[in-house]
Amino acid sequence: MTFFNGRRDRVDAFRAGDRAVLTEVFHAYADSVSQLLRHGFRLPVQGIVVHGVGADREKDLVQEVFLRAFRPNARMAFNPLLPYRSYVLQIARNALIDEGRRLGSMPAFEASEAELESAPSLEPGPDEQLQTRRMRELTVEYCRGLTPELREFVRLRFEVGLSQRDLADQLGVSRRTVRTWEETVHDGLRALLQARGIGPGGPDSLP
Amino acid sequence: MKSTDKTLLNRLLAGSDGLAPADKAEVLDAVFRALPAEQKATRWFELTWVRVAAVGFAMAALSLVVYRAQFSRHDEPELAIRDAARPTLAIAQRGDHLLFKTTASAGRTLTVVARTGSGDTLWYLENVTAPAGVIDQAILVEPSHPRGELSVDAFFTPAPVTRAQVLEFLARAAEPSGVIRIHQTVVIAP
Repeated sequence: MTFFNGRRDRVDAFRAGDRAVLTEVFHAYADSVSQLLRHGFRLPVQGIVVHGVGADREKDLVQEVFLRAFRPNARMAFNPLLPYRSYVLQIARNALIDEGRRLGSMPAFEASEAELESAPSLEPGPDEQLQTRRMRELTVEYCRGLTPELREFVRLRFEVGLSQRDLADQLGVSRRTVRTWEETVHDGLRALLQARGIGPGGPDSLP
Repeated sequence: MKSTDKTLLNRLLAGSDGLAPADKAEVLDAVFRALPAEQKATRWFELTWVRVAAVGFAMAALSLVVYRAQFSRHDEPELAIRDAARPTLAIAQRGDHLLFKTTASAGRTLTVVARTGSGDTLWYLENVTAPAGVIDQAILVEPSHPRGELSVDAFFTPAPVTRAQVLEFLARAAEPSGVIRIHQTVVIAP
């Protein structure tokens, strides 16, 4: 079941640019877009691999993909009879190809729309999956060792997704305090990961 | 701190495979901040064309008044349809949608009404102005609707109609001048 399936009201609101529906669409598909941009994809017929981007460009490209997808002409061009996921992932694949061409890392090729549409996302390799699992385990261990105050901060800021301002209002502290907590948590986690040799920025860090 | 590190750490702290909620909020905010400028530009573009269209429409209306004043004796009935051919209507089911393909001349309005066996009206698709040639319109079959026979009536009218007029058309044995009605029964597959 896709976001628009059987919901004419959502299609109409989406086409009209309703911010609430655009927000729902973003949250429904941002993870799929983010994963495709991070891992890249392979063109099935030509065997060409389009590599994913690092975390520094990932957010920029997610933004670019949804900006393209939310433009009025793109909203009108979407056919509600087809799944929106395919539509937005097609935009993401094109954005990755544009990025590769911009960086000069893409071989010259021409792919049909059908081939692009059927290009599967690349799965992370076993080494990368193992590293990710180790980093997650260490993160859980790290969070268990935090004070109750910081554990609540991590939950609200990173799991619930409150902004720094909303968090400060909810907890009745200053925004400077929230920023200090965030730096403390980031610094502590990064130090732990680096001490175990898999931290961000280190030689074995994730791409 | 490099944004690479920050994004990765946020993702780990959120236990997320995609972007962490805090990063999503930041990205979405940036998307919305970038959107209004484009929409404004588009609105300006659309307004410009609305003005051009309004001038064109006014000139066409003036020409019609002059024409009618000169040749009023040769007027046809007001609602007469000038098409020699009766428009066609094809209905196909695609998943939870009904797809209508119809031929109708420019300026014609298509209204589709679908009813269940018990007479409940499911949809109105009002005042869709057909371009010259073929128009495609899709309407949704809600998953909760009972599967089975649907009675579909399509009305082609020279001008937009109201819901009350459609109900009146449905109640009449014969359609008023200028209205073409096509009736079909469609079986909605599960």
